[in-house]
Amino acid sequence: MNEKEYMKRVSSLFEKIRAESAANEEEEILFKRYRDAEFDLTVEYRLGPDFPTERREALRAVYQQVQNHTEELRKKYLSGDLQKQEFVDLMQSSTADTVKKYATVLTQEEIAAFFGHGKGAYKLPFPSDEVE
Amino acid sequence: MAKLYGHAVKISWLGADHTYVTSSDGGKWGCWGRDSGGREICSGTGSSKRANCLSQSSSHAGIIYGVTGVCHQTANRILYPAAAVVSRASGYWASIIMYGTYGTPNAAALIEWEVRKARCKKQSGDLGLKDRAIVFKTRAKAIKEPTIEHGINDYLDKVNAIYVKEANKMRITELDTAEKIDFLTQELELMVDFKLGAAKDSKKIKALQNLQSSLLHKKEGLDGALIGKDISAGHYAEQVNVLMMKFMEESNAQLGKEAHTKLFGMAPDTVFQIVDAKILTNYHKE
Repeated sequence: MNEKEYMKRVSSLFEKIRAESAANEEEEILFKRYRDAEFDLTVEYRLGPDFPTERREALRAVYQQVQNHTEELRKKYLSGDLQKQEFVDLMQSSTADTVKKYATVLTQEEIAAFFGHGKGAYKLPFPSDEVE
Repeated sequence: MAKLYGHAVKISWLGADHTYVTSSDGGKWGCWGRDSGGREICSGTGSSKRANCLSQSSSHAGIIYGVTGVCHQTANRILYPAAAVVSRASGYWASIIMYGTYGTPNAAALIEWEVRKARCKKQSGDLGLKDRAIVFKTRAKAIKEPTIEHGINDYLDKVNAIYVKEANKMRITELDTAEKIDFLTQELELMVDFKLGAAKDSKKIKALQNLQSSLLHKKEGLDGALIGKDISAGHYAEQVNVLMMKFMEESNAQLGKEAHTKLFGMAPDTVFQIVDAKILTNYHKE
């Protein structure tokens, strides 16, 4: 899949998922289907369509674990249990942890193919003065 | 049709890139940061008016910085009409794991994004420098001292009359949910009489009142959950804002653009947040 095709597919992904939904589908279920489809599309684009299913599912398990953890951080920050800088630091260290966890499933070459090259590839763009 | 461009600027000490968006007709969206310099990393053809609508407000595009996304997700939302994403920015794929392509790390954020897109869907064409100059002129005019609307006193008297009847139990805790909602649906009807006058369509207003009632029931549940600390202030704000956006969308569908704009004093595609998550969070800390 080339970059143009990926962009086209990712920008129309939600509409595709919504079209396949029952009229009264619960928002949480819709969200989970969208999240899974977005994950599959990302893996297909970054690691190729032939990436083995077993390893894909291992990666998905890590991804879901990360999602659950960051959702907890978000809730704590929004409810005032975490200060801004604390939250930013935890999100940044979660990103580093995620890369390490992905590395338990992916080879070094695959990690580079997935995240890109350079130290900035594993960082969130968090200039702290931009976080309100 | 304009061309929309995604740009990346290296944050030297961090290594990751800040991203922002521009358009061929002079639009600039800083996405929480600078809107110049760096390198162009993606482009596509799309309506700059729609991009501008999606970017509201303050070029933040509905993203809560660090919570539902960073500048990458903000830029992707603004670039949506061009079906382009800033995927060549350093740190992009790490941010995708944390927030998703469009800043949808949870169901509430996903619905907010869906509603935002729907509200901006009717925007087409380009902003253009000439149009932008007119927009700025209109804004300058809008902050002039407002004139008193004809009939406002009569309207306010009628609103007061709704409440005076029940003045002996006006402490909010003494009213049950149905009563509170009834007051507000009556107020909506008076507001319609005042704003639309003869153009009022009772059938459509009834449908709007039913929707208002359903929205208020849902909000009542959220109020209870907030007070009982079952949900965070941020989550509450997100949910209430989504409810409000859905209501405005339905109002536009029922009444049509002209009547909707007259009733609420804003166009149907105006993106706004009725509850500021930050202020509410600070308040609920105390």
